[in-house]
Amino acid sequence: MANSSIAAVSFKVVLLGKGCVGKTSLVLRYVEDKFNGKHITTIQASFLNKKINIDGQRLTLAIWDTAGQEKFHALGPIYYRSANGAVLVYDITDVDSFQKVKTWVKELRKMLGRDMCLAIVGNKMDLEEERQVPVEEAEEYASKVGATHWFTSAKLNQGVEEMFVGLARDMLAKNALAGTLSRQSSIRRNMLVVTDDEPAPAKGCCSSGA
Amino acid sequence: MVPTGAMTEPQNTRFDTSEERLIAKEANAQKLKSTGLLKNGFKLNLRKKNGYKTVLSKSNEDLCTHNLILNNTDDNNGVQNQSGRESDSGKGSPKTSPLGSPTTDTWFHTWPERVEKLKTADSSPEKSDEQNGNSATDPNSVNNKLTLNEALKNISLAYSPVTRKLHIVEDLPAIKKTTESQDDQTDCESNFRCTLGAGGDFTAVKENSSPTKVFGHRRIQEGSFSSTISTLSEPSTSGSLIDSEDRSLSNFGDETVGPEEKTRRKSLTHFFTKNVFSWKSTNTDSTGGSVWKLFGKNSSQCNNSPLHTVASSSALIQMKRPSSLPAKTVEEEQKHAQEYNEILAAAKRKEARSTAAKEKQKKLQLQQEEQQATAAKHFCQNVIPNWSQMEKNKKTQDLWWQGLPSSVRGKVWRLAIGNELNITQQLYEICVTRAQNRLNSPEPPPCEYENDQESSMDVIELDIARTFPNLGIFQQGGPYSDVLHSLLAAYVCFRPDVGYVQGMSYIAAILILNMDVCDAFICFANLLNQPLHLSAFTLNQPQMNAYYSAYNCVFNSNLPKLYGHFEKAGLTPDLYLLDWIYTVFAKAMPLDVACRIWDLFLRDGYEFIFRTALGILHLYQANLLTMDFLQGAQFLTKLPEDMSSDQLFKSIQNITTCIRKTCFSEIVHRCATQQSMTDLYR
Repeated sequence: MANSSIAAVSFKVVLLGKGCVGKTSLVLRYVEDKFNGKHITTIQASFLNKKINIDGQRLTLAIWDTAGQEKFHALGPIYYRSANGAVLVYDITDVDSFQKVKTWVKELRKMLGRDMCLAIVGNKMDLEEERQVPVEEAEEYASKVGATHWFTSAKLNQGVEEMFVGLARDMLAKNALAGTLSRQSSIRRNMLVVTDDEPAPAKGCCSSGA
Repeated sequence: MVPTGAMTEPQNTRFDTSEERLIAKEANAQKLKSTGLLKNGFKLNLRKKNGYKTVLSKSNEDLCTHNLILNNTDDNNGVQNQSGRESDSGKGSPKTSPLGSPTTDTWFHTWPERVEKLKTADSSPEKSDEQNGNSATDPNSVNNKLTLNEALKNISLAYSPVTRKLHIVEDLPAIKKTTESQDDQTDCESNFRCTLGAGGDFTAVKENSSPTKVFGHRRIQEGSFSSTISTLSEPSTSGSLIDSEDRSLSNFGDETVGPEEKTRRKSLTHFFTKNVFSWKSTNTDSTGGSVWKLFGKNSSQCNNSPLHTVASSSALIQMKRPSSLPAKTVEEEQKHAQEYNEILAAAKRKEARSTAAKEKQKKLQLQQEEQQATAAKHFCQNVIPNWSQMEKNKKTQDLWWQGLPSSVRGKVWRLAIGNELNITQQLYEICVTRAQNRLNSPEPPPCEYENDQESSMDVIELDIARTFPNLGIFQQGGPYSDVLHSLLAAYVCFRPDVGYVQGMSYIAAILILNMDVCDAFICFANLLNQPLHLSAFTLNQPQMNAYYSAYNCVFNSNLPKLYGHFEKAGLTPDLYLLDWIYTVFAKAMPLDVACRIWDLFLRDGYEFIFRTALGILHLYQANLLTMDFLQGAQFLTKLPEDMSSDQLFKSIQNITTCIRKTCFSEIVHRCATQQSMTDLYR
């Protein structure tokens, strides 16, 4: 599909999820390969980018790490507008955090339609024995809403790279489908799609998911 | 570690008889011989072995060797200073010069006096020698004898005529101990010699007309080689000994004895490089015996020098050059000496510079401390007791701008924030109790308000440890962890409509760091009751948009070029400003800088937050102009950690939050009404 003659593509990826599920840890692990058990609370989105190469296609992931607290939910649109992909993180030991993922999926599908690639991520795999969210339930839900599902451990550096690369591949495929449309216009299309497609995804996934 | 002096007589380790002195004298002579031997013999790779033997067999050998050494050293100096004036220029280095030939002037000139001196020195009791301490005695010989006695008492090697080798008869630690003590003694001796002043009785000095300076020069040079050598892979057994050796060396130079001593040490060095390893490797199995094969069977008696003990391993570093390498030429040696001097001079300059810088810094710090002290005094004595009158005082305001002294910071903040809400300690305690009840009850009680309060209570716990994680005091089990928790929980009970919002923990933490909990709570509640923070923490988006619009107006009027760039890049204030407002820069900046910002935020009110934000943009203007959206967003959400408060405050001074005569709050008001108008017409 894409060859190296095409200039480097830039994708915007937004991380969403309940507070303290490990969004910042995932990004820091992926971008800087660091893990710090005691990092700072994210209040506002922080921005990091990562240059990667997939099958000869150079691309830049602009990763937006957001605050997790419910209160900041209202600020979501600032961060996820014109995003190509979203990483929806939950903590496998926290059922509430998985519910939060469901509300984000609903909101994103409603606002941005199906053009956005979603990756649902069960983090803190290292705490497997304390697992609260059943694997089957999570994977079933993900496939239902057209998202990929991953298990990661930012602490042990498991599955983090794979997850981001997998998401990047999805975004590349979507990008190729979008064809000759420039990114700017695809953003516009997104906005249009919202009204056009709204009933379809809502019926398809969210009604069953909720 | 060190080869100790050997015996003249086999199987004897101690002198108790009256013959001691005699033997000592003999041994002394032997030592001198061997040093001369070592010095020259090794340089020449024992080419002249037979020659030495002849010398040694003479009856007045001690004096001969002594003079030889002296003479030879003089030659060295002469060569060194007068650029190969001496006849041995054909040989190149003074080191390779043959035994000071008795045909040279100095030889004849020197020896009669030397004989007398040596004799006196050897025959007179050592104590009187030291006390007289006169030029009449040769301190060097005193030194030798002392060390000899020491060595003989602790002798550890014995010569066996059967094996023709030296055997270790005592255990090693004892040897080491004596060696060290003797080394110290040598040190003292050389110091002592120095106090005698320039003896001037040695004709060699006059003869050579080499000034004391020359010795100083040589000394440095010597040091240079020793330091060079020590970095080489040559064996250097003890660091402390190096030091003492250097010290003792630096005390030479006023007399001709200095070079002589040096020469001896040098020669020892050669001695050791030849032998120290074989000795070392075998001394572990002392029963094995055979060690020193220095001179073969012919000159095995030369090993008996007790001086080996004295010089010890430190002599190793005195070697100018590994013995396996050919000697340097005069030019080369001079060049190296010059290079070394240059290095020394450079090092000295560098040191001088660094001390100057340090001093300057110290002075600056002192000045700052003094300033702080005066400021603290002013605040304590004048401002705090009469807050309402003194708050707006020019001097107070100026001092405030410089940054509040940390000793009064909490008190001034407390007064500046005030207590509009009239919160009392009792109220705080009630809130804390309520919060504790709520936290302890397993079932959350039915909520009177929204869901906010209950859920935000849980988040507090997660955020406590994530507040100033680098300080470590809010960590689980840290001293302020519970304090911060109870303050925030109390606030949730105090304002359930606001609840806990991430970011509050930073404000609370900053306050806790500067005052006690109750005051911190009062300040916290009152601060958050101010319009800006209330809108921010209740996520009142329309009101926040009004603030952002006002900020944009001021941004455009202060930094139009950067504003244009940000507009083009799409860097809107809602991407970076919220974090700064929420924590009043506590999270974004180093703590000390943040505290200074807080000082003025509490002096000037909320608009100082926007002023500081623009100050930051002003400070990094050049960088930001080159950045695209993502880089800019990254930069602004993670400011450089080495931010200088002075530079930042200079930048802040360049910013005004007024546009012409319209003050900031008015601009905000206008933006808010404009917004509601557009909303109305939409």
